[in-house]
Amino acid sequence: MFTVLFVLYSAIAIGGAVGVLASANVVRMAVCLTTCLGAVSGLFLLDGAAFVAAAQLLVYVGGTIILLIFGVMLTAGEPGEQPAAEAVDVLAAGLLALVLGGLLVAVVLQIDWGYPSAVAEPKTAGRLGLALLGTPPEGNVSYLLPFELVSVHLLVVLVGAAYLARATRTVRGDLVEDVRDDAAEPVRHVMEPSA
Amino acid sequence: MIGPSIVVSAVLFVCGLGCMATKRNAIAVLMGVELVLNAANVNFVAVSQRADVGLDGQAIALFVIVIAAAEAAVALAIALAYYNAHRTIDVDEGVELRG
Repeated sequence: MFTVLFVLYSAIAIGGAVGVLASANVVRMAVCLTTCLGAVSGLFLLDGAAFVAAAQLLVYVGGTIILLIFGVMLTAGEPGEQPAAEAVDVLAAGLLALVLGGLLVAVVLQIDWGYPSAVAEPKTAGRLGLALLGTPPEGNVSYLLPFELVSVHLLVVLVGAAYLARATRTVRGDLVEDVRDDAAEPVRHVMEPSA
Repeated sequence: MIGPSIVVSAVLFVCGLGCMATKRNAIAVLMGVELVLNAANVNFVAVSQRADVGLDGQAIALFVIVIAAAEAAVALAIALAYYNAHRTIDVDEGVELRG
């Protein structure tokens, strides 16, 4: 049963990835990417990482893909006007991908990866939460500092992204020249002398 | 199933790399980056099945997911700014910095 599910999820993931690579339409690429990420979440479940699988579904499939689809919608040009890849690029990239993929698979298959043991102990979410809170169970590393760093990083990045993407266009679609000069104008606050 | 997982991850990585190399739509290039990051995640989770690795692989996979979300937000903002400046999303049109 495990092997059947593993082969099924792997096939869906690989099919989705190949679909992303082969499709010329961005919306179809997004659908293929969603399929691929969902199947990878299933692979995480089979590998005994239930919490990572849930985070993958929530953050990646539920969040990042939505962002990407909004990006596709906001940057859509005329219908049927998709920039097509040039044949030379496709040939070179295909050759490179085939050689690199063959090399990677050949090397991976030669290595003895050892016997998986975490499958026997599938409840990793609690231990993972303790490690993120700085009180890891015996034999694990504390992840409190990376956790705090990554949360501040996410906040800074989202504020920066909102600043970068704020509208500098009028409704008609004309570019407004140098909107940012207005923001650069120094604002003078006159301090009222307090009584 | 560590070995087969890493084979799947290698295929995802190669697909993402090919996507980054061939696509001219900036959002499509971004999807290639997501595939590559996801391939790295498959590796981390697969190797964390070994007893001597413990939880580290899964914790790092969580961090990679967060970083990927942040990267997608910033890259999308850059793509929107690029689209506003060039009226197209074709990355080959951005040649202003070419020497």
